Formats: sequence, structure tokens, C-alpha cells
Amino acid sequence: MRCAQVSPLLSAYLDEELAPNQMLRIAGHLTHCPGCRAQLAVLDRVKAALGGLEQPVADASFWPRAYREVRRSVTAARGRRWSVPRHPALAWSTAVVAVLLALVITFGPSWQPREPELAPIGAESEISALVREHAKLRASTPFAEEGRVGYILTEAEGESYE
Amino acid sequence: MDELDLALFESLMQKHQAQLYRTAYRMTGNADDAEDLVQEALVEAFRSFHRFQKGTHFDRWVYRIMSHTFIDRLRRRPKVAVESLDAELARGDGESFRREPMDGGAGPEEMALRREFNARVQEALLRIPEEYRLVVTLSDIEGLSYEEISEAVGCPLGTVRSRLHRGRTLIAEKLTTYMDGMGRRNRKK
Repeated sequence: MRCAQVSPLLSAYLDEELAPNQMLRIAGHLTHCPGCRAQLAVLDRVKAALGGLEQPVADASFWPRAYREVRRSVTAARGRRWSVPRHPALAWSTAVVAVLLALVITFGPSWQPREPELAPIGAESEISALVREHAKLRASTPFAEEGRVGYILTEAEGESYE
Repeated sequence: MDELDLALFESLMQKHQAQLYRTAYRMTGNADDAEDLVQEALVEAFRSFHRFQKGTHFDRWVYRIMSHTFIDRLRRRPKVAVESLDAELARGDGESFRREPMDGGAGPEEMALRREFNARVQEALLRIPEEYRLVVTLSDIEGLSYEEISEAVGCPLGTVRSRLHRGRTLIAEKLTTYMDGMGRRNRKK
């Protein structure tokens, strides 16, 4: 391996985070490369320096405060879910429309769609009677209907063939 | 429902909150900003808590959410409290600088030097890009494996490896500049 290939892997080599064959190849390179050995030593010192930093601890009052804030944010989010619109005019107009609707529903005329009047079951309806009469007429005098239509048209145009 | 979730969330969080705070502190460099960061991350994590799959690694899940919060917040507020390296050099007291962290049995003078060294390391950490800083913090301060970092940050293993290497190299460069400066000052004396 060349230095250019080894150099970017030195941190991972230091942390033993490479595949075994890579570890062995880099170890082989380091035995005869003082430059890469020096770079590895620098990285090792940086790692040790960072690991040796004092461990800061949060102020005793911090965590109770932090969880109170989480609790408060949950409550605030719940409040926003049920809040009225931000614009007062919109809020008022919505309220007025709602009240008017309630009044109309409570005290207004009770309108219901009219159902069609149906002939009582079992009794012969007017339409059925007409159909039956028409069928009888067609059977007895086949051209009577055409004559009637011609008469109607003549009447409508105001002409007379008499 | 929310109360039950909050109780469960708190009990899971309590196992990892110290680690979380340390990471926030290293990412921001001071207690006030760390508290703000953790606070915001906690609220975000709880909002997403219904998506957490029970039985999976809570710490990695919460780190992932917090990583996004950290990065978002740091980008919104890019100015972190970083002291100028040059200003510190001008104020130098002429004491020699030791590269290695010193042992626990050090006297007051050595303790002061250790504090100075730690401050330098923290400054160097704050001066690298936040993507590198987060990976370096999780690896070298919190001791997470590459796989854990990959899950926590939400990026592939190869990206973790390259960010960590680049981050450490940048920190080394910044510390070398400081140490060289200290060496020159000592020689002038």
C-alpha cells in the first residue's frame, strides 16, 4: 500500500474499525514508513486529548426544568389543537352564522320534501286505465290514433277542411 | 396517553441524559448554550416519540433526533463562543506546554496547565465544521463505535470514517499551531 492509500484509513486503523485484512496491510506499511507512523501518533494524541477532557455535568436544577418545558410544550400543542381562529373578525362571523343556523333549525318552518301521491295498491290508477283503453282502441281500429293526431294538428294550425 | 408517554420518555431519557448533556456541551462550548440545545432537542425528541419502535436502541434513536436538532440549531446560530487563539497567545504566561494530558496527582501548577490544555482542545473542537465535530465528539469523548455513530447521525459507515479522520486531522493542525506558538514564545524568553 502507498501512503496516499494508508493515510485516510489511519484513524479507523487506530480505532480498530477496519476489516482484518486491511488492518494487516496497514500494519505492514507502518513497519517501514516513518511518515505514516508519525501521523498515527498525532491522531492518537488528539484522541487521547479529547478523551481526557473533563466531563461537564448539568446544573442540578436543569433536568427538572427541562422536563417541565417538555410537559409545557405538550400542553401548549394540545391547546393549539382546540383554539379558535386567530382573526377576531373571522371568529365572530363564524359564531354569528352558527347561532343563526341553530335558531333556524330550532324555530324555523319545518320543511320537508313532498312525496309523490301514489295510487293505492290494488286500485286501478288513471294511467293504467288510459293504457288499457288505448290498447283496446288500437286493436279494434288500427288507424284511429293517426286520424286523431291529424285532427289535433289541423285544429292547432287553425285550418279547416270542411 | 400523553402523560404515560411522557413518563416512559423521561425514564428512558434519564439513562442517557448525562451523555447527551456532555455532547451538547462539547458541541457548543458552554453550559448556557448546551442547556438550550438539550432543551430544544428534548422537546423535538418527545414530539417524535410516537415513532420510536419499542425494543430498539433508544439511545441511538434519541441521538439521531438530537443530531439533527444540533446541526439545525448550530446552523441557525453559527456564532459559538470561541476565544481567539491569537488573543490567548498574547496573554500567555510563559509556562511550558505539555502535549500529553497530565496525571491525576498533579499539583496546582500542573492543574492550571491541564485546564489550559483542555481549553485549547475544546477551542480546536469548536473550530472544526459541526458535522466533523459531532462525529469526533461521539467517538472520542462518548466512546461510541462507528456503527453506533452511523445510526446516531444517520450517515453511512464510510462517511463516519472520513469525517472522523478529517476532524481529528483538523484538530491536530490547530493544536500544532498553538503548540508551535507557545514554543516560539518560550524560546524568545
